[in-house]
Amino acid sequence: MNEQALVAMRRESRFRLIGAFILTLACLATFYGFGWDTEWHADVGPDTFWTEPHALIYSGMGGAGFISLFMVMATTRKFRRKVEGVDENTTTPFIGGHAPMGFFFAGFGSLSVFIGGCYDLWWHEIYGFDVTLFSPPHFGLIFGGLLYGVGGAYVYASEVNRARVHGLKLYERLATLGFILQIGIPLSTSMVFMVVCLDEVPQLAGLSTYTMLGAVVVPLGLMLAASFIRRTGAVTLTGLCVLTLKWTGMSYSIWSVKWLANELQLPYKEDALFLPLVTGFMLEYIVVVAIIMDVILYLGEKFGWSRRTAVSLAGAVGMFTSSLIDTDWIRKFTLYLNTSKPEQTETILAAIQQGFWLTAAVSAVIAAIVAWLGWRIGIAFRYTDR
Amino acid sequence: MLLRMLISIAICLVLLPAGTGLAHDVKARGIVYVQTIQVGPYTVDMGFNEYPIPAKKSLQVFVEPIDGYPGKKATYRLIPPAGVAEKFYQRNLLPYPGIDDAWVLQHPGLPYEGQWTWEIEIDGPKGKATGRLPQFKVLPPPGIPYWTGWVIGIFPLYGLLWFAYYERKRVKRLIEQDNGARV
Repeated sequence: MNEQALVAMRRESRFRLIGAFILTLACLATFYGFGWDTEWHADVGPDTFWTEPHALIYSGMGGAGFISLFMVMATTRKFRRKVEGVDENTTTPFIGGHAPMGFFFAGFGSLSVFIGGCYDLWWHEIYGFDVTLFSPPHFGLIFGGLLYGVGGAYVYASEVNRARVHGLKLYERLATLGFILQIGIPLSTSMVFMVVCLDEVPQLAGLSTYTMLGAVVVPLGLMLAASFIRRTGAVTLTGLCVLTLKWTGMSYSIWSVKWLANELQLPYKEDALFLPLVTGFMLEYIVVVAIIMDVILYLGEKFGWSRRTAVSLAGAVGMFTSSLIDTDWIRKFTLYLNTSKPEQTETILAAIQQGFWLTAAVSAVIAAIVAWLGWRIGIAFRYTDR
Repeated sequence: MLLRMLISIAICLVLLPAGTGLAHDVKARGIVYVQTIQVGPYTVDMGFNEYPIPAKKSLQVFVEPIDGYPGKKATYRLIPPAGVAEKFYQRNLLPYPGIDDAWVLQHPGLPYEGQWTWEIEIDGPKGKATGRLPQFKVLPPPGIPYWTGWVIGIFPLYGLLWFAYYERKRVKRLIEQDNGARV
């Protein structure tokens, strides 16, 4: 590649990384807004649409849609004007546009959220105010949010691969960090579904659904990151990213609810929990799980185990350990059950207590399968450069 | 300054409907039906935002003891129609921020139509007593069938499945091209 082409490529990478960074900020706004909103509804209220937490959530969603649309349109325009560095080899064609695939995907996620928002408005007119997290439009909204998170990961992955090929170390490192963050955000957000389990279906045949769903989302996200980055420590770094999101999310929700209640001079509800209901329930031990997974992947590499064996074993051992060390589960279940199903709390807790070891074993099996799936999905990111 | 103005407007919007006295605030609170029940020595007004209530639709009820709620503790119990295997729902009645004359009861939509039994228990200075709301009939659920709601609600999943199919084809082709060098 000649010097001029390299300059053009660097310029285009910079442009895309700035777009991806704005997308990341939008994802973070949604994430923190969501934590703020759930605690606000639980501890203070009032339950209306016109609240500041909703403003933060929807500005994140709108921001993600706006930046995705902008990047798609700007790149398509460059493509049509035959700007150097923007051609068939660096863009993905889709319904007449030419842009990085990640921005198309993030745009679809934002569109889903917009449609989900309209659906939610209609839903509330029919079924009343929010007292449950688990409704069809809420599922669409949360899931749409996950999609634009994954779209951002695609953009960063594409920039890592492009920078690696052209030896642009700084861009590669920046994009790798962006990728980890962009995997960490959807991974953290998807743990919301675990909280939904506590609220809606805490147990199935005596097995804790919270733990089993954790065995799906955690290895999926962590192994996807490991598969793409292929360096010892990648899983731990992703785990640290999730833990940072959890801690900052918890502190932010507590502070922001207190601040807004003071500003609006609204008292806390009598049954306020003073607890971040989303971030507070994300797995605390994810870094321990991540370190275990990293060590097993390293040992697999060192002793020549088949990749499938190492990855599945890492997932299984990591999540089995997580089930055992999550000694706080009784408090989590009690808190939720006392709110949603107080009359069944004791029966459900007894059933889960009885199925504790079976839950850990089933979670390990699930994690082994899902870890391999996560690894396979990670390969798609290694083959993304446009 | 602008933030303060916006917050002041929000305070007004939020607190305006939350003034005083259920009887005086029926319109402001969107109450369409008031039922007075006797819970032992306590007389209680129950103000419904919708009546009769359809199944699956969330309930909001203002529960106001005529002589105020301070010094009293209350719980409500919703017992499903006869023949339904599900257990009853029991919750505490609690004050709501900004409303100082009535407990506000917010309950997720009741799952079944039919004749529910609604009990309220109050423990206060005049002792503990239980009262019943007679003839609390829940109508069939409104809107589209719930399963249709889910079919629509999970629509981002359809896009994801299509994308997974597209990616599978794309990556497979690229792996064949470079003999799996990046796998």
